[in-house]
Amino acid sequence: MIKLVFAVSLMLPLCLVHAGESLVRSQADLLSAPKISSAKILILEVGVPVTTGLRRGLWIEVLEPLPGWVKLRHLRRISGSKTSSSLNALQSGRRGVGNAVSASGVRGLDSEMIRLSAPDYGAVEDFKAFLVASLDGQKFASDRRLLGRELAYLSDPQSRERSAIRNGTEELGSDRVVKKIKPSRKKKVVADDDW
Amino acid sequence: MIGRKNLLVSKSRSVLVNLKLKSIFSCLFAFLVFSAPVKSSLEEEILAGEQIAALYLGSVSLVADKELNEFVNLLGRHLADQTERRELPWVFGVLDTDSVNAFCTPGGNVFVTRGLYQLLESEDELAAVIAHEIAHGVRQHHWKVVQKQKAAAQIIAKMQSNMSNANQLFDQMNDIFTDLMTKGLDKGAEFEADRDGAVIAARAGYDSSALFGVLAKLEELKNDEKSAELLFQTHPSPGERIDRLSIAFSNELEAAALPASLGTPLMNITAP
Repeated sequence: MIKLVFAVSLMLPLCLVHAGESLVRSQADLLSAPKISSAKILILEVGVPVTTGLRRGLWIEVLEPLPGWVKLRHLRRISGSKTSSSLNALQSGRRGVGNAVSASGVRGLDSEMIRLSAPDYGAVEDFKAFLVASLDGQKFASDRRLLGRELAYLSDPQSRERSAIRNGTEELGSDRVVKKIKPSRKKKVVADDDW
Repeated sequence: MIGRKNLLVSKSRSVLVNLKLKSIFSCLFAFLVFSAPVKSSLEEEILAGEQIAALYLGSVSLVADKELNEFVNLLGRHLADQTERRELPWVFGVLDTDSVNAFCTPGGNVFVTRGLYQLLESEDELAAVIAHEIAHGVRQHHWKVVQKQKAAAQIIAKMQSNMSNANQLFDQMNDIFTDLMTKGLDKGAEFEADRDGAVIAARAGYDSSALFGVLAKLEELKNDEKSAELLFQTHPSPGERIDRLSIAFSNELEAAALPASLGTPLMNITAP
């Protein structure tokens, strides 16, 4: 029993670390798994507050009002919600994990400062000294066991839509054609979110 | 007293070095503007980029953490090698400011602010940010704006009336660059850099969806938050960017998405 309580107490901070508060930005289906084909649990209406957990690709886990998964784009994180390491951040005044020690009292960078600044060429020379060769980059990737992939650039959905309207079809991605529309009316069809 | 004298000598030397560099840059830039009236050369782009970098570094310095800047350069170089502009002298650095932002200049200089770095949770998220900036450089978004403004033509006109003052040319170019730095690009260029950046990061072996995590964090920042003022001034809203990127995402790219929990932890900043 003591062991169980101890284990739960160890796990509690981990849960807190990933909990976040969000609002539903656009109506969305809460699904049982991060897959479009999974079972629908309920419809989340606009403005409903939800507690979120881990992100998985384009999906985010919903803990409350009911556990499930929803597309990240349907939620808007609320400012000041408990994101990762936010408990530490509250104590240190810093956020994120790349924050062990840092310089303090440094001014912010805004338009006015850029306008008033004088170019620092000496600093540019120092900056350029950090340049590394491709071989070093390759070694870095190999040390981290990063596996490269061959991927084509994404096309602009709006230009796809425009060209689909010209051709009389509404395309979503290269592998699907979902709707026929009348080219003469040039009516814009809102794409159904199917990822 | 001796220390003060040494300091004065050192300061005047630094001013002299700065003036010397400025003269070299001015002459070289003027030469390039005159010698390449038809098409901008790569050298011209790189030089303009260095000038913008000098303006950023004149505003804030790099974080005094050599190891961190070396790490960012290795990561950035690996990302840049996934693009069509490997030949650029890509250099990366972390600017020592609380502001949340990242910048790319023409010619391959990329800056991430400490404020943004500290907001990130994993190496994948840093890769997403840097890949977005690299995408700007690859597509020459900033450089095209400079060209569109016909800056060179205006400067030539100005120079013809006052050929002796190279620094005047330099000041006018600075105004154009400053304008670009503070007003940003059009929304289309930002959305394009989001799409390209996700692909570049995934090609390099990082989580293709990490940019969503970054944008969700940016969405948490209030519009009137001082640290993100310039970011919101120069970029579309994070919510809009999430929307647009979600719609553009291909199945292949989604297959390259990793759970956020598997992201490599980010190196800490250990500057004094």
